Amino acid sequence: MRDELARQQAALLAALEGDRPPPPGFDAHAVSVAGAGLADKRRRSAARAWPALARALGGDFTAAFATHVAPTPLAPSRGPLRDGLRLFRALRGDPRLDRAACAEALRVQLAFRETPDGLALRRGPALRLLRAPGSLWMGVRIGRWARVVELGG
Amino acid sequence: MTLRAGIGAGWRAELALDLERRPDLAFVEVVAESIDPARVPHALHNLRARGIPTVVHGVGLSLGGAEPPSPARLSHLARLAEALEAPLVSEHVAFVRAAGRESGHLLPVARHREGLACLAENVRIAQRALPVPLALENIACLFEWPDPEHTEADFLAALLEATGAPLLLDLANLHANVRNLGVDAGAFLDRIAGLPIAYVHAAGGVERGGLYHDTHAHPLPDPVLALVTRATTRLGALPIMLERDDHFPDTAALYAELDALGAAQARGLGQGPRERHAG
Repeated sequence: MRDELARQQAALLAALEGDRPPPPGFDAHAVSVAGAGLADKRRRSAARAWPALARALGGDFTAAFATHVAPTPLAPSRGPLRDGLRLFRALRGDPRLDRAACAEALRVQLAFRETPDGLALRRGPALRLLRAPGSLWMGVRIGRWARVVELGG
Repeated sequence: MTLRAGIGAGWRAELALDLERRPDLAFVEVVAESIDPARVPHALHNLRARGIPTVVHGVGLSLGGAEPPSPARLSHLARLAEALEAPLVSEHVAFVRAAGRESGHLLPVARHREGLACLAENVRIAQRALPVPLALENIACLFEWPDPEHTEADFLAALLEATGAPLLLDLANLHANVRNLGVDAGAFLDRIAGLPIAYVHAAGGVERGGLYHDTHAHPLPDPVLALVTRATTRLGALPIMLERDDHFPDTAALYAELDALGAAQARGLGQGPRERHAG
């Protein structure tokens, strides 16, 4: 019983992701609009989780997200945060990544560690370095206290 | 602490200060996946100290999915409920993942016997893992599964009767389904009227391309406020909260939204100017 349910739900999700038409009996237009809504929501959620990155890219955020993140699976754990990190890394070295975006990326990496499911909160203290064009950043976090500093540039 | 009838709000960090300063806030609700039980924001401790209850609201459990709910997710909900002394946990009549892929959004379940049995079993598994009652929320969707065996209200009623879970009545989602799927609001409210209702959601949305989108990013539209009045008339005074997730309003606009909710509830209780209902 659960197997058949799983198959049906997987088919609907594939249709929403645009991989195939919906199974018979579904309102194809409504499924299409819903699928576009899912893609928009994924992008907006990542932008909300990474406001400095979104501001740095401005109108380019949509296209960059579509290119570098949308084709990848959404992580089960902290998906929007994981998506923004993926986008930041894909744009490494890009001159649009300003100081605020670099500081934001470093703060995220101080607070979270990567897991197969996405991102999880770090438990212990953390020290991270981040190289950007023309500058080197260092971040330290102990408990709730965190500080990021641009060392050079 | 239990929930008292009155106006509450979805707690978001962006709204924390405004909610802390709002007099007469009946309760708040937090999104479970956004809070670490070991690092609860001070603002939530402050609310609890003032006697304002917090409900834990999950979005990732996927009770409507083919797989049983994840023990790790259930454990998180339980630990958070304990850390916040929550009187209630709530989740959705929906699935959010299939074949190892996340949808990122609540998707409707097929309203047939197999789906109902699977859902009821998942709810029972969740109930056994939680220290407090689990309320189940009706969702909005732009489409339905073909050949449903039940109306949405009948399906919800059957699920709640089978599990003993109370309803989290989302009036914005009901409005969306009225607009997009032709659901009869009066028949829906009549069908769920005898069931235990834990609390109520209200949220804003927007009409676009001939469809109503439940965005949680816009002010409460008049039809949703009218549904609040109508539901109050039919069901009595309930805890009702505002959900806002994006394009956060300034203090004045937020308080105006909460005031509007309160006024809509008061009209339903016959405490304000009478509204003409569509019957």
